[in-house]
Amino acid sequence: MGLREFSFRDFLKKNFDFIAGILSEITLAALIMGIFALLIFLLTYIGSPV
Amino acid sequence: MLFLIPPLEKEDLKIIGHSLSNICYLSGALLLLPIIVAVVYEEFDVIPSFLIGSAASIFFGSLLSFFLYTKREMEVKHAVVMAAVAWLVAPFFASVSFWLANALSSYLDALFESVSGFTGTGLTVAVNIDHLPRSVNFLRHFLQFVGDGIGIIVISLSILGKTEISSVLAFKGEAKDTGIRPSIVRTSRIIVGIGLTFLIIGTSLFTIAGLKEGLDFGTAFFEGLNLSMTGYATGGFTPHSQNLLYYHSFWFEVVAIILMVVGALNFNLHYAVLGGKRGEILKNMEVKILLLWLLVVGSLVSANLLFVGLYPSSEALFRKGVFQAISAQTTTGFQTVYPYHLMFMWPVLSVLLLVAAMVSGGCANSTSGGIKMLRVGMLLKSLVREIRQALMPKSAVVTGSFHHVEDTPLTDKMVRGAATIALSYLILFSIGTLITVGHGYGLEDSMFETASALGNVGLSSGITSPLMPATLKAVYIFLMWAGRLEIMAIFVLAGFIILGLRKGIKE
Repeated sequence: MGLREFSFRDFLKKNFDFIAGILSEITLAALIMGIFALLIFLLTYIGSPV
Repeated sequence: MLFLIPPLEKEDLKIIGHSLSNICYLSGALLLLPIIVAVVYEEFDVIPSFLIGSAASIFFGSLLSFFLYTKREMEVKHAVVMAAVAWLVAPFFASVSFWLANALSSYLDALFESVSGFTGTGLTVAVNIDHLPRSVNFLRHFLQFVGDGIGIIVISLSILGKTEISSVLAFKGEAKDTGIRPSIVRTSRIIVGIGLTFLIIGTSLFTIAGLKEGLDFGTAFFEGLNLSMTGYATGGFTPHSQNLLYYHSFWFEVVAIILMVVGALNFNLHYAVLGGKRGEILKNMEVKILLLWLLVVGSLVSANLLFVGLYPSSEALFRKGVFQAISAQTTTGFQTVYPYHLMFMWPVLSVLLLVAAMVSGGCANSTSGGIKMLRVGMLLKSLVREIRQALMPKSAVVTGSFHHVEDTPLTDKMVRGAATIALSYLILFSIGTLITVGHGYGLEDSMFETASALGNVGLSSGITSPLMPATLKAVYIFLMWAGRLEIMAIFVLAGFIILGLRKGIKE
């Protein structure tokens, strides 16, 4: 298949589940970091002397 | 009970030996890859060490194949024994390369480094990692990727094996024991595919982070590639003796967290999610327990570190406390804290919480070690079932189930299996700790280092070094090997040997 025949749209369509799956797993990691960031913010807020 | 087991036949040894020859061929071929790195970086003096290691592996494989040739198919017992032996044979030939390249102080150190690599542990006895030839450093990381990240046994059998059943059984022996899909050759390809996909993503992200931190493209790419291999494999080797702390980079740590979390997920889950069942990621019992336990450990460690005033800022708490909790739980071993800080400055509670995280580990069927969250989940579900049973009338039958890719009834056999492995794990952990204490180390340090070796983690309290006693190095080599095989395979191997000795080998 030549470059001219390559369609990014088709590629996305064909591999949508795979790409979306990879993104979901990365989102899970981001979610964990987000929850921890929030927890730490709360902890430092509660733990601050003032 | 031994009299009930049929005696070993010569054919049993042939089946194991012949399958092992495939591992030797593949491991020999893989040992040639660092030569490309050596040529690129003009490290011509170390090339013979890779060639000799590779040739020795292929020669040994040929001997096995010649003398133990058989057409008979594997059974479960052969696969389990073969996996147990393979995890000693493959590191042995890699250790020859390390030793000949003068990368480590002694042959025992070379073997330790090699076993630590193949098992995805990450404890290191290399003296000056920063000044190792790049090709040798690449080999350290590459071993973790092929050994733990994509599973050398699965690849060898899917590429060189005769039928699909061989790899299904070998996969069991490799302790990734729930089996992903009926078509196992396809499964192996999926495992390799997922590994390579995250390798590309991780390398790209690390390279961008490296460029942002001022590294030149070549260094950023090379170190990014190495870190991605060990991050996804939840291995923990890094190209620098200060581990991830060397970079002092928030972005490196963020990319590392992504890879560690993804690497700790179950391959069954990967398969479901990448196949379109994206909702599975939050429905899966194992992921829920992993998240919950991680949040408990991470928050308690952070709160403890905050209240003793060690890291007063939110950023430091995240980059030290939370990062170490994730690294321990996923059994990766990337370290953003110096070992002596961990042991002499961190409060005991935080250190023990990290030990608990390392012992419990990541998901089953993943690149991580430890008891595994699926087993922890089954045991917790069983506990709830027992409590419910106690509260119900005697005639009531209480059942349990859990969601793991599909709804699965919790059977007594599953609970028994999970309890046996958890118990064996805890016994070995206690013995390892006692042996370390016996060498004159403190209890806290000993628990930490033993949990790290047995859980294939790689975090260090400072005990693991080239100067540690040779007997302790040998004990940790055994623990890393046992942890990688989830202990049971070693019992099967021991049973196999005892059976051979007691009853002899029939023609």
